[in-house]
Order: sequence, then structure tokens, then C-alpha cells
Amino acid sequence: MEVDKGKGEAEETRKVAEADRDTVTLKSSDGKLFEVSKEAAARLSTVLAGMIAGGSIDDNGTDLKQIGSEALENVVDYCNKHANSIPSAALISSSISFNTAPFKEPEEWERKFVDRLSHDALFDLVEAANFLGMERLLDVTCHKISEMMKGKSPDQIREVFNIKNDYTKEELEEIRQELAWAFYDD
Amino acid sequence: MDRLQEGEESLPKPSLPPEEAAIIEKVLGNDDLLREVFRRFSLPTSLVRIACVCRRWLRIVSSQGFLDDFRRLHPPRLLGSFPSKPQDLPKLLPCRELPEDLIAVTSHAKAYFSRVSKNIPFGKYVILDMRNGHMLVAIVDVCDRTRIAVIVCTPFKAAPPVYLPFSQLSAYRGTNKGEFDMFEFLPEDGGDGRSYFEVRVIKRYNGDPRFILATVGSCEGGVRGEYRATEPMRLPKGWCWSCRSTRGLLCGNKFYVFSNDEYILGLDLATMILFYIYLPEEVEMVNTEYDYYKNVDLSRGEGSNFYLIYLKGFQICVWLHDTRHSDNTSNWMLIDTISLLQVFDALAKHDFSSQGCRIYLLERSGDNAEFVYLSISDTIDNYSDTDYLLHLKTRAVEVVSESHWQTTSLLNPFMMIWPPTFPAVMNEEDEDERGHAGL
Repeated sequence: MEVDKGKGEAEETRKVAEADRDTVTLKSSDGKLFEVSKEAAARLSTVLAGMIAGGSIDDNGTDLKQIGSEALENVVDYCNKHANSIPSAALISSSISFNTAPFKEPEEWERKFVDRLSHDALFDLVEAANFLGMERLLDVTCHKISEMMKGKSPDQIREVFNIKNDYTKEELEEIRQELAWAFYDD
Repeated sequence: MDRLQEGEESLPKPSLPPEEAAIIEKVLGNDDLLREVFRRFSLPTSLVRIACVCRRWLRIVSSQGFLDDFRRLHPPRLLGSFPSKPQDLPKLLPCRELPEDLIAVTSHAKAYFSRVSKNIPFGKYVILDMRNGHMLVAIVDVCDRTRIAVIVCTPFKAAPPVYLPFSQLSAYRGTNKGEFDMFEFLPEDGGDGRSYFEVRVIKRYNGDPRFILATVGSCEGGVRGEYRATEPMRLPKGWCWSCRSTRGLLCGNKFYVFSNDEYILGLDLATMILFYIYLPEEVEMVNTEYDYYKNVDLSRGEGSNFYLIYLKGFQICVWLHDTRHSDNTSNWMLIDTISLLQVFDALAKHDFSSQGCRIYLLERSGDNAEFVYLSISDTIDNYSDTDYLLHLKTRAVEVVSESHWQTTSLLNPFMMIWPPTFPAVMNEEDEDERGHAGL
């Protein structure tokens, strides 16, 4: 995401003043204001970090026109919760993989955080996390969606996610035969 | 877990409210975000099922970039082990605590072997090599152990075994009067199911015990190729056939085998040049009255690099041989040391304190030194042998098998196949026409 860094020197004083505050105010597409810890925002979102560093944060609410109030509330909630959570030692030692740990499994509170979301809110949050460059939140939300797909038949997945089957019966049979090991025997 | 039911060509069901459908489409309609979701699956079984949802999803999971990424994040897992001793039927010992999806995969493999055994000529199975879903097997006569057939079994596929040409000469060590040692193995990626290599190391070339040469015969696409031979090479010390390895190791077009207690013999299959690599000074191959050099093994690394696993007392040391350093100093690097006393602490079964047990390494360590097989014999109590699987990275241990008076010398790791071979159900035309038909 491009961040406007070409601010004049006149901005400097304002930036200093801002630096004294430890929160930033974000404004959703529908005009609602949310306050979030500056440290957490900068740590969790590459886009917000760029805006903070570039001085393009507005005291009266930085406009995030692409994000609705419900999603932004969840983003802010996540940032604040993250700021308060201490990474558990158990988690670090349990992220076992034979090679490098691919993903850090969601922590208990992160799991709870996404579990309580409705489908709409979850997908909205994926979009917002993607827009704001929030790698960890994208991890956690995409992980949740993959969990929703796991163990479901293709038919069930199509139903849950509103996807049209564009295969012929013969084509599906071909995949099933070629890759029989991935399916359960009847 | 739900069973999969492929339905009739179902029409889109307008079951979701339009706003929710729109939000879902915004995310899942974005290839990048969909890829983010798919990367979080940990098993290839999920990828296959996802590919059945619609063409666009198949296109994403079957693209080379995605598959490479997925493999890096989720390397193929060990499903179980096949003991190498001659058997009526290859017997799979599945890993403990596999996820449900992988238990299903191992049942497929078991069903495969009980199916094929009905059509195989009477004899015993000797597994020669296993790579990526392919198993190279010699069927030998029960009485005189001569070969009846060489076949490639593909337990991940429904197709019957493929019979390949073989030379009767290669029957088994006993018949060649120690004139040569023979190694048969599959191409590194498992091959096409109709190919294998046969390397012979001919000893006492021209009657001189110091000279050897190697010949390579290959069978490609079911057709036996020409034999190629290396120039004779003088060894610093005589070739020792009773040495540890029965298998050797193919690794990035190079073949390695322990040749005596000081060095590893190497053969470049592309240039047909023989060479040798001295073992690290610290490594001492042990030859006791019970075992021949059962304290070392080799493991494939990246490219032509390989690992040396070395068991000394209650310690396992892992050495990496990095072929990129071609200066004459040592290419060996000690990368890990594992204390078995700590690893086996939880088991607390064996009496390590006395001379009451013997430990040795079993052949076929996992690639990239991920795991090794260890055998522990209880020599005081009841003469039982227990074979263990030890994951070197995590130090996790599990029992593979227990037996009395019956030792295994080699366990073949049975790895998850990679990549899944998706059928080409979609052609270019479809792609243009229905690029986004999935939604």
C-alpha cells in the first residue's frame, strides 16, 4: 500500500504533537470513530504503521473509507486485545512441526475472537485485515475459514459458501478415481 | 468426519441472503485471499477435496506456485513403515496418532496390497526401494530365493503393479560369490512407475582388491537401457562388502554407499565418475560380533548434500555433508547432537545403565535427517527387540514394532505422496469462458 511520505516540513510540528498521544483515531466508511493503541496499530498493521510514520494520521479521525464500522470495530477490538495479551509459553513450545513451523496456531483468545463472529463479520474482517496489511489477523481469520471447509464434502462447501458447481458428473468422477486416496471409502 | 457425496450437477442454491453472499464473494472471489485460506490446510487430502468444489478452486490448488508454497509449509508426512524382510505381503506399520484423513490413506494402501496379492505369482515380497508413492519390489522364490519378478507397486493408485525387466544375476548376494555388490533403487522423485536403476560395484577388478569399478543399468519407461561402466578406481583401502549399507543412497544424481570404515563411496550417475569421501574424524564405525556397522546411516539432503547419522553410545550426532564447499578442507558440519537418555526418559522401559541393552540404527532414515529408526534389544530380560521411530527435530519417539528373537535390519518409510496429480479436466477454452464461474 502506498503511503504518502512527501509531506512538507511544516507537518513536522504536528507530527511531534501526535507522537505524544498513545492512541490513534480511525474513522469508518459510515463515519464512526474508534480509538486504538498506537503501538498495537503500528505493530499489527503495515498500512497503519506507514500512516503513523508518514504523519498522515488525522487527530479528528483518520478516514478508512473502505472499512465499515462493524469490521473496524472488530479490527480495533483485535488490536486492543492483542496489546493486552502475553504470548503464552505453552504456545511457543507446542507449535511443533517437523520442519520450520508454518503458521503459529491461533492462540486461545484469538480462536475465541473469531469464533464469536457471524459469517458476514468474519468475511468482512478478512477484507479489512487484507486492506490494512494485518498479517496476523489475516492468518487467524483465514485459518478460521479453512477450518469451516475442513471435513466438509464439496457439496457442503458449495452450499455454505454459495458456490456453483461447474463440473460435469464425469469430471468429478475422474478426480475421485485419480485421487481416491484423499476420499473415504464408502 | 463427513463422508463425501458427489451430487448431481447441482444448481446454485440461493440459500444465503444476498448481502452475505456478496461479502463471501468479495473474499473468496479474490484469488489471493482464497490462496491464503487454502495455505492453511495442513494435509494434501484437504486440497484434493477443495479441488472438487469448482474449476477455479482446482486451478488455484493445482498451480505450481501454490503447490511449491504448500509443500514448503507442510512437508509430506510419514504415514508408516514397511519392514524389508521377505514377506508374504508388504506389511504396513502405520504411525501412531495420525490425523483421521491420513488413517484413511493408510487403509487405502492396505486395501491395495490385499487386492494385488491375489494376482501376484507365488513368492515372497522383498522391498528394494520406496519413493514418493512408488514401491520397487522383487518377488522371490520361497525356496531358493531366486527372482520371479520385479514390480513397481503404487499403493496410492488403483492401477495394478507394473512388471519390469530384471536380470536374474542380481538374485541376491549369495549367488555372486562376493564379486560385486548390487543396489537397486527408484529415481529420486519416484519416477513414472516403470523406471529404476541398478548399480553394481565390482570388487577386485583384475584380481586386485584395491581396484573397483561400477556399472549402471537403468530401466526407463519399462525398457532396459544400455549398461554404462566407470573407469576402474584405486581405493585407499579395500572394498568391504559386509559393510553396513544394503541400500546406498541416491541423492541429486549421485549415489553414495558406505564402503568401509573410513570413507563413503560416491558415484556420479551423470558423468559416471567414482569418488570417495572420508568420514569425519570423530566418526567411528563399530563392528562387533553382533552387528556390522549398525551405528551409521545416510539421509538425503537438498541437491547432492546428504546427512550422516552417527550413533555413539547414547548419543546421536547428525553431520551434514555440503558438496558446495569444494575446497579440500572438510565438507562435514556437525549440525545436531541428541541424547537418547533424555529422549527415552519418558519411556523408562529400558535399562540404559547396565550392559543390558544394545542400541543400533536401522536403515532408512528419513530425508533431510527428519527421523531415524532405532532398535533396542533387551539382552538380559527376555531378548526382546523394540524398534522405535525418533523424530530428530522434535525429539518425539514412538514404537514401531516389538518382537522376540527376530530382528529387523531395515524399515522403509512410507511417505505421503506429493504432489497430488490432478487430472486435466480443464482446458484453455474453459479457463477463458468460466474463469469466474466458480462464484
